[in-house]
Amino acid sequence: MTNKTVLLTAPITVFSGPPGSGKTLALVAAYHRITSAVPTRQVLVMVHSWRHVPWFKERVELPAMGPVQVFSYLGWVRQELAAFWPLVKTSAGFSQTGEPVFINEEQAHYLMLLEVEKARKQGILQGFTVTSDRVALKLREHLRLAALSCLDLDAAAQRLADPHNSASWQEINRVLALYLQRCRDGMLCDYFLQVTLYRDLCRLPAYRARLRDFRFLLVDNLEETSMAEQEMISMLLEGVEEVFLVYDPSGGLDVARGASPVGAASLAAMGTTLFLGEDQMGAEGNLIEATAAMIAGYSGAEALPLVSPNITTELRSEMIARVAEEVAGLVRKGVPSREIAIVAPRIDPVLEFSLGPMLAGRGLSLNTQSGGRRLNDEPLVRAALNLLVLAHPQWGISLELEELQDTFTHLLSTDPVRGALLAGEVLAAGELIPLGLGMRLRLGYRTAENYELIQNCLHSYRAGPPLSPAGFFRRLLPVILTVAGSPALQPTRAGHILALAEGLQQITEASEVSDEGLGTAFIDLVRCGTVASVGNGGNVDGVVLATPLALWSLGRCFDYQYWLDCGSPLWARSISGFISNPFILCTQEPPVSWTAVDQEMANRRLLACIVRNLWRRSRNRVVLAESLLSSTGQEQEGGVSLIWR
Amino acid sequence: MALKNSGETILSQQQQVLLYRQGYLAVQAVPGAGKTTTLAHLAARLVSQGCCGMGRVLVVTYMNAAVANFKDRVRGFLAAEGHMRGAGCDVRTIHSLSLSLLREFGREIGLDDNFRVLDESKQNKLLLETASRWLHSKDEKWVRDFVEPWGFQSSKRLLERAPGFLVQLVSRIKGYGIHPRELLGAEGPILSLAARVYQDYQALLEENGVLDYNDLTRLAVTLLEGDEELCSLLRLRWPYVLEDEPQDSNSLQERLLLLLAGEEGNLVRVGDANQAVMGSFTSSDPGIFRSFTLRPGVRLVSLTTSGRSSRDIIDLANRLLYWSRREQPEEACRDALDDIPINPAPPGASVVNPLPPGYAIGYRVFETMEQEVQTIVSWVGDLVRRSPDKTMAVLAPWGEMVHHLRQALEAKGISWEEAGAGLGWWRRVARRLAAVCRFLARPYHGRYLARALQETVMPELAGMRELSRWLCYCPVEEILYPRSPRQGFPWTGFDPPATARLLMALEEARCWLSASRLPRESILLFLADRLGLHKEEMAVAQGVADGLRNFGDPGANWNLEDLALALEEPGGSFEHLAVTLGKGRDYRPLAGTVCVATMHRAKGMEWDTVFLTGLTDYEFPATTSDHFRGEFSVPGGFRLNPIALGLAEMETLNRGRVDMDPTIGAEREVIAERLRLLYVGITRARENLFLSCHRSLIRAGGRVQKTAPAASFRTLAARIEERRGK
Repeated sequence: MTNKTVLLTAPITVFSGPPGSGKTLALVAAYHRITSAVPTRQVLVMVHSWRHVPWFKERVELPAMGPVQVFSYLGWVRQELAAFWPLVKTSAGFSQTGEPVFINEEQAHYLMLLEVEKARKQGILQGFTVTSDRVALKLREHLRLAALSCLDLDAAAQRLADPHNSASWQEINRVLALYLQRCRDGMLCDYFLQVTLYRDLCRLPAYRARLRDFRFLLVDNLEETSMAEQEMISMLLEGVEEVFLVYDPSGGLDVARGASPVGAASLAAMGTTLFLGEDQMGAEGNLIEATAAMIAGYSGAEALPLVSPNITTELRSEMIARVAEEVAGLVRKGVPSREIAIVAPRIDPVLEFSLGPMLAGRGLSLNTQSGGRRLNDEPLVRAALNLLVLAHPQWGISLELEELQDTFTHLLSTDPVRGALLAGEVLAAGELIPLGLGMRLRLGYRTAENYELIQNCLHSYRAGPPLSPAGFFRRLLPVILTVAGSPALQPTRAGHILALAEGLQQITEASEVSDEGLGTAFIDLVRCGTVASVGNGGNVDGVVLATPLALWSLGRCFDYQYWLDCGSPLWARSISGFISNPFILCTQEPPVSWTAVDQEMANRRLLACIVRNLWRRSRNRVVLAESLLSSTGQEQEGGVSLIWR
Repeated sequence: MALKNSGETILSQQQQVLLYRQGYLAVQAVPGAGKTTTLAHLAARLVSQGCCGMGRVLVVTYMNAAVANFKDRVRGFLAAEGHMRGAGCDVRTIHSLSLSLLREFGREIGLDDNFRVLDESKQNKLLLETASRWLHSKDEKWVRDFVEPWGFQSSKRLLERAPGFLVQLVSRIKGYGIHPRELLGAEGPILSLAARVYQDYQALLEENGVLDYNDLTRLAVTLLEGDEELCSLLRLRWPYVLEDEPQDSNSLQERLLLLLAGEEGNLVRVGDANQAVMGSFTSSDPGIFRSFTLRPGVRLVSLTTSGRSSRDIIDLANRLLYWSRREQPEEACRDALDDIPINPAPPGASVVNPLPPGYAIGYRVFETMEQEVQTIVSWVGDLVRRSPDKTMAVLAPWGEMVHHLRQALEAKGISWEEAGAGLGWWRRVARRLAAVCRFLARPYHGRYLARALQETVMPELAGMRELSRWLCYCPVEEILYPRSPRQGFPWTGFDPPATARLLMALEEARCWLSASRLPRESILLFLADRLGLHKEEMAVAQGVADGLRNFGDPGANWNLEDLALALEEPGGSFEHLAVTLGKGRDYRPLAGTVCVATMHRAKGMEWDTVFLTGLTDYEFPATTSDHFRGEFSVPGGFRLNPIALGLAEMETLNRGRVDMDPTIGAEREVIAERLRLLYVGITRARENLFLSCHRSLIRAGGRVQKTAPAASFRTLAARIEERRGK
């Protein structure tokens, strides 16, 4: 660290360098230097993600200096809107009095889904061969990108619309407008509205005075900031005394979440640049070029350093087994398991469940960082949902024997055979019934007692008027947790499902959506897999299994990286969807036309960028693994594997 | 003159193809002319000589098995020249090509990149369900619309068969790339009915974000037709497009390849219209390839030399060709086979046609199908014993006869296998996985426990009647999870070694049950690991697990019983996957094992000895007065083909008229295709060939159906007699 300490000589200092060159640590050092003389409340630190907030706070270690002002952009926006709400609410079309409700992803999804389904029933949005759930998801993504790119609905549509077919954008914007109106009517503030309102707020002189509270501004990962964030940074530049920016000129990976590298470059150009670490740009420039060229089908590029001999197999199962074997071998040689990362473009169940037991058999654990685990994959959540269904036969949702077996086995801590026996009885009766003597004997005393606890609880619930899912869970979850015991994360899962139910109820009440179908909508929402689970439930010290972007967002280096499925086209999969396109939205100068060639080149540049960033985060070696056939038998000869040929 | 290259022999005719470097080229190749070898060699040469620049050669085939075969050959050629495996050449089926284009660029036409694809078995099942649901929920209005105008006497019989023909009709219409929107004005009774079913089916797919195989090509064409920039990009990626077996393509598939190649591009199509036998099931049409060969600017090369079969067998195939073009009674069908006789390899060539001792072709007419099956199987048994080093196939024109042949072979203890797919290994794996899944679905049933143990860890249980019987009726929970040591397995009264083995087996069952809380796909992987699956078996299990969220019908919630059923479903999605991933990829006929298959399945293969059975006038009609499958009898002695009528109504909708009686037209197509099928069957044989037929067969319900030797059979029999006489 000492050799990276930098003298600060200019109002805007840019710490520039590749990943792992110590830029962020230089920022921490600058923070230390500033706060040795200035109260921390006058120093604003902006980081790329909320996940980085605690990381930064831990590094600065200033317990006695006052509140550390470290924010992600959205965290900052929410804080400011809550504090200055009266200034913006009328101009934004929020007619009601009171405080806004900042809704989360699941709540926004539910509201959007309502609008999409209504629209599709009216014959609108029929041109997509996609489920309503996916349309809702993609519309939310589009709204977020538009907001982060400082565009309103019409401007975003204008950029994206095909001049020969603008009708579909009229439909899309009609649905989005209805969704936003519903939000405003219910005082609900989603991502789009939060960003838009904050930008409105920034234009007010009264608020701009507030920004002068800060004398110093520090920004990490400038290259990953969106145009909305850059707009805010520009505004802050007017009032602060000194600015420190951390900038990787060849970064900008997070385009899918609004990153605007061109805008970031303009900001960085305003400052004095301090290059940290060795000047790698020559070699890395070649790497990007080589990457793009190889994806395009060039051959003959020389093998790059740090790349070990490939693992190449015919079948994917063999590739997974080989990787598990090599990883175990490294650990045997003394490499700590947390220093090994396995990267795959998609963490599918096959990969996770095949690799997990293979490593476990060698005494290693897997720390999955895909963020793709579904709430519905949690046994307690499934059990709670099934009880919700049993308590409301009027919803007409049928349950399978296996689902109930799973519920009883989990809740009553019994064996699967007795769980299935009980499930058979309950299914035959259509409800939780008192047990006969024979069944009590077969189940055993303790299981029967626990069952009757739940049965009595449901019985008394059904004797009263039905409650919303949130009300039901508030009443039942304590009983469920008592019966099921509390293994790790169990209360967290229970809390998550309760929060989800309460969130839906909140927006139902606020936006005057009929709560008639709320119960079934809630069940659909969880079962269709839209809702992600909290926590990975795995060992945080194990071998890391992650997608490329998830690994990058961890922000740390590994001794060894294994890149799996290198032949898979998923590595180079476009981040553009069937509705929106971040490459077009997240740029200050929109392209006059956008062709398939432009898209292909943008995809390649992004892949090159990802590959380079991952590569830089490997201290020792990158091992490439590929199989000729995917799990579903698709031939795979693309992806990153071509880079190395 | 032939040259040796990379272990493969190239005849001088083939060299003409290998000299190709640009433009459109059509190659007509007779059976055994080395089509695939030539094409693979060409692909390898284009790569190795750097003709592709930055791009790669794209090879398109119509069968999964052909992909593997092709890749292996190209790899072999390239490896011989020091190139890395597969580098520079993409081999795709037409469906996987369309799929990859849509995954990559589908957003341009409103497709999500995570859309799901129904395979053909799921597609047919869903379409059948949609048709049945529609037919049964519409107050039989359609019966009035459909039955009365055509005068069908029995609506019940029609109701039974209507879903089946509607499925075929809708599939055919879809294969032409027609969307239900385009059928809105349909007025014909059959087409309007099909249009409504099609509309319901398509809406179901679209709402659920699912595409079927027909959608893949249709949408890929839509994607490219609207985007010249994209076409240019793809032409850089694939400057050469090579197509294997274009006679099996339909107009939409041809359109896709023409778009990929471009007007000024490089396209090579290697096929044989005389081997086009898929028209009855699909919208493929050999006329498409024939038209291509005649297209201005297309260079045509013919590969007429074949070293596969003996000269006598080639003579017989050529005799069929001669007869079909000059003597076939239905004059309108005389163009069924192109006039391209097969030439045996010339003297001095390194390829030599097989030379069996004497004239090795025979024929026989049997009184009944039963006699035919039993006698042929008996001869096959003798031949296997006498010539264990020879490969052999028994081919029949339809599935039911194949089934009888297999039963007869099994009854005589003769080893047999299926052509191509070779799925026996997967079925054994599927049976084991399914048995455990059933047990996990109903773990309290002792009989499921017994079955699962018997199929997996304790096969000897089959011979332990008492123990097996006891397991079937035991309280499973007390056996596996006894609450006290006094309960559980009654360790007295059974053979101690058997008891010890059962103890270990029960431990395994507990292990399976420990996974029952896992998500379905994880259970399957867990079981695959426990059952010791490896290589292809494990790969298919992983594929099944990966596909569990994709294979299901839209909205289907898979449970373990569904999974067990799907695992064992003949021709189902998972078998399809097994063909793609599995050992079938390297199918080679085994000496000493008899291959039994339909003649359709035999395409692309060859054996030393081939028996062609069931060559009756019913299966190989020669005139429109013969009997045809799929037709309905109506009052007045007429017969109607509802699929042909539906397609004719579509033709009327599009063009305002049809040129001939659609049923007659369909009959002529069948006559022509069956001639080609017989030609394919004959040319599968290398040394020995035997033709047979029967005069009657017993249908389900005991009805005796009279048949006669097909006209083509009689012609061939006469030729055999003539040659024998010499």
